[in-house]
Amino acid sequence: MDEDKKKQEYWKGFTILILLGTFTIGEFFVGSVAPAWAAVLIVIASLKAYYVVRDYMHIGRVFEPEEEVS
Amino acid sequence: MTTGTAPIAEYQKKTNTNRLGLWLFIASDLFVFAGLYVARFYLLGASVRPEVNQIIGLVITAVLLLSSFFANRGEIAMAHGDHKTFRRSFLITIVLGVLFLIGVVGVEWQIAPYGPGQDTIWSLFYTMTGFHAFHVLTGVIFLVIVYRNARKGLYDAERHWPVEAAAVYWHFVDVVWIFFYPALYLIGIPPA
Repeated sequence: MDEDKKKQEYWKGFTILILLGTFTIGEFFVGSVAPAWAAVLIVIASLKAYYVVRDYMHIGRVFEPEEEVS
Repeated sequence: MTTGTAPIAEYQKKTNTNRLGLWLFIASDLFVFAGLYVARFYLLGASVRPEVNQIIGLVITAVLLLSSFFANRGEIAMAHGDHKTFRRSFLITIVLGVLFLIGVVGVEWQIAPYGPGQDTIWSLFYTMTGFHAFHVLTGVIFLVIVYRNARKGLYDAERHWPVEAAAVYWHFVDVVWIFFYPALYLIGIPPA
């Protein structure tokens, strides 16, 4: 049970890494062909930051009631 | 830094308070980075950027993102009592952090065509990368301390707040770079 949960958490972390890598390649491409598209690049950066803050930094833990914190 | 022998419930309560304190610190630190980020667009606009090597920018960004993955992996491992995976993951995070520092200070700064006193563009470039690199350095020191304490057996699955704090701080440094990378390397073109 605990082993399954651990594997699930590892997999989630890996999925986020793949997502971040994809976004980074995407923004590199956008920056190379259209460096004036600042808004697009800022939106991509915001999406990357969102996933890091949510899934790596676990911001949700700050707002959880004490007894539910894992 | 030590976890002590307080009952689990008490430790959890303290951890919740510590967690809130860490996030308040992160929020306050974020204001400085936000100020630099806004200054970059206010002073240079969106049409100009420093004449930096975009490939180096991409590589060091990849290194930092990968380091965040391993920090997260280490934290999960410790939460499940897997000390071996924790040690390996944090060690990789530390190495990648040092590689990032070498990439910015040892490579990018050395091959940059101008110094910080050249003009506003380069002044901003060195201030933003320098301030961030200093945070990476403190993050590496933090990770080394936690790694060393873990080797001494100070943390376990139930009591490992310093591990979580080091990982969260490391991810914060990563988030800052996520915004700095396009601002310095991708948005705009170098002046003719």
